[in-house]
Amino acid sequence: MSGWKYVWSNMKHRGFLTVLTIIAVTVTVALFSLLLMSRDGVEQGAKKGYGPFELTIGADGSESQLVLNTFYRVGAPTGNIPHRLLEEIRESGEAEAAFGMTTGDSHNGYPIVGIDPAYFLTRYEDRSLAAGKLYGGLGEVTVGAAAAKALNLKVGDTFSGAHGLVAHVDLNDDSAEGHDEAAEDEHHAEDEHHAGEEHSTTDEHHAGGEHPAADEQHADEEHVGEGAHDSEQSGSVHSDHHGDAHASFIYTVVGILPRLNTADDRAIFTTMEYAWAVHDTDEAHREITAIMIKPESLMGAQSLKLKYDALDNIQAVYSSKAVADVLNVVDSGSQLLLIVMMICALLAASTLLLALMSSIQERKRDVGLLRLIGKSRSYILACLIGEGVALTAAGVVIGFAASRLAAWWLGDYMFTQTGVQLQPMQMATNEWQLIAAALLLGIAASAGPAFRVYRTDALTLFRN
Amino acid sequence: MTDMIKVKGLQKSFPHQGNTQLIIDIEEWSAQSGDAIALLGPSGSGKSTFLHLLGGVLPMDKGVLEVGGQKVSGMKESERDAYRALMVGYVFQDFYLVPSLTVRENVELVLPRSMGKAERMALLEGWFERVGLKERMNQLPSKLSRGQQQRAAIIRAMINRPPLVLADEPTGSLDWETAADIMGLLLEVCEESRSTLVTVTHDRHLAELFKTKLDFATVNRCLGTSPSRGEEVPSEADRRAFAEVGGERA
Repeated sequence: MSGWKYVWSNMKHRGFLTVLTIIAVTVTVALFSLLLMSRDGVEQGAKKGYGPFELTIGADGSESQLVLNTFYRVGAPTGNIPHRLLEEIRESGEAEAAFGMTTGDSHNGYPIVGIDPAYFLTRYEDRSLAAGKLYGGLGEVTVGAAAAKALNLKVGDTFSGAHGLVAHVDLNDDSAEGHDEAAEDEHHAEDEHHAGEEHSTTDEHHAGGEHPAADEQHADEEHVGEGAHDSEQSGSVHSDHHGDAHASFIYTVVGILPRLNTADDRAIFTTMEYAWAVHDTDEAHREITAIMIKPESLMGAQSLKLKYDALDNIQAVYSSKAVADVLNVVDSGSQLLLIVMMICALLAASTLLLALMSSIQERKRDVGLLRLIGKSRSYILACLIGEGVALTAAGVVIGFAASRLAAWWLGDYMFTQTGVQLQPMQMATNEWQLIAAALLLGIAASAGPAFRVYRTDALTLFRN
Repeated sequence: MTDMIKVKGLQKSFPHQGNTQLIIDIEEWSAQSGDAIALLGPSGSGKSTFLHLLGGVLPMDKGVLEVGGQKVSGMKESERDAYRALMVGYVFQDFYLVPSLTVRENVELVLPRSMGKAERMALLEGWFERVGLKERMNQLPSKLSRGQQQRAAIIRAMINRPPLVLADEPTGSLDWETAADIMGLLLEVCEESRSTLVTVTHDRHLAELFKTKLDFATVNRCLGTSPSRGEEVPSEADRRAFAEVGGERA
């Protein structure tokens, strides 16, 4: 009889303990694996998150907040800056490409981002859309792949935006409802507004005017589009007695982006003019949330940074540096989590050790018999360590399968909620080391009991 | 007739109450191939120790032991492992079947790994059918009666047709009818295989089934000797071994 058959029979015989041990290893490996996948997801997302835009200009505040909001759609914008800065930068000759961006409104929790459609060509080069076309006219939107899937948006659907970035996700919502949904969003938007939630673009006016440009502008949303009451028409603006223009500004989906594996998958894109139209902002007071710059050269980047960082209420940051700062914070969190996971691993190893130790007495009699019928000490050692390895290997395999299944199952939700993209079909960094470490730990945990029994001789059989 | 077992000047002693006690002292003894020997004698006379020496479980202190032309005395531990695997079959009072393995798997433990699956199954089925256990060969030992477990243990001892079969009170835990049945089976298969059977038994009625009945006292010269007679200083392994198997002499 082969050693493996003997090991398998033993594992079957002690079924409950075997299952318990495998579960302990499985849970540890699955959690470890998910942690590594998440860490990779964060790092990968961060690395390609800002594309070729090495410089970001926005309102004063936290550098990380500016970059996170601009590229990752996370958190609130730092504020608004005058639109004219974008023109200045484009004319400076220091930027190969520069795009302004407006954010602050959303649809069912997905941000509506105003940006020049040329941004997609600069960032992703020439890629085919999943459906339809890129937006062009006022009120036209092209939806990111994840957002379109979550909101069940198709080309031709219409919806209205809500004020602020606060999530109000109703995945059962029929986004093509037009008027009915608009009324619902209106109510929601109003609630958020009164609750003092984060907002930007022209809505900064309500916050007391942090910026000179914003101060000049009146809170005249109440009057936006008065009398213009044609909700069937894309891009039309009208208001009710509460005067919330967002609720009644109707967008029409004209395209769906392909999966880009960046935060852009989770956004709805339209022209920058939408915010100005929604809030009826005149040309002189137009504002944007941020400017993304692909510098012409390194010197150009430095020159632009120095120039715009020196302006009041404006900051210019190197995107990579801000991302690195964020990653450092995330990495510290990962390290802490890793320590917790190490403790989990030790507990799993202890379970394995206890499971094998618990059967020592029973084993000694069996081992005595095996020795009596001529099995060598090395055969005994191999069988006992083999059992530990088999339990660990089973836990590792099931753990990996479980982590893959979890990543596949939770992937979209996690990406939608956090922007972290899990890649279940790829080995995460250090996952091979995880396998090796788990197996080594399994061998180490089995070695103690195995060596204890290893010394057993045939005479043990005749004890008692 | 060729000698299957040859013993000359065999001595084995164990520590006892600060001294060493000579347990086995056999000047000369032999058994032929195909012999069936019932080893009789009082408790503590060293019969089981003698079986362990024949089986290479215990190393001897002095003398020469040859089994089937192989010199067992002087063998290293690994050589004695190989000797037991190839030359010796064991049957015990308590069967010693591995509880986590089916009775078939218990028997498979002793089969050479090089044996093909079909050959292995045919051999196993043949043996289990012969002892009336074919239908139960895939059950765990705990599901079988004591008599059935001993039959399985006999298959394990005999399936490789070893030249030497050692049985220590093989019917000690069975009722008379089953005991006679089991002893008959053991004798039958040993005769068929031309194996030399050495059986320790206290049951004089069962001993009548054997061609040779050997009173161990006639062979072992140290029977009844005092502990002070021992001359050799035993190893630590021997001390442990005596505590486990030879201690009953005290």
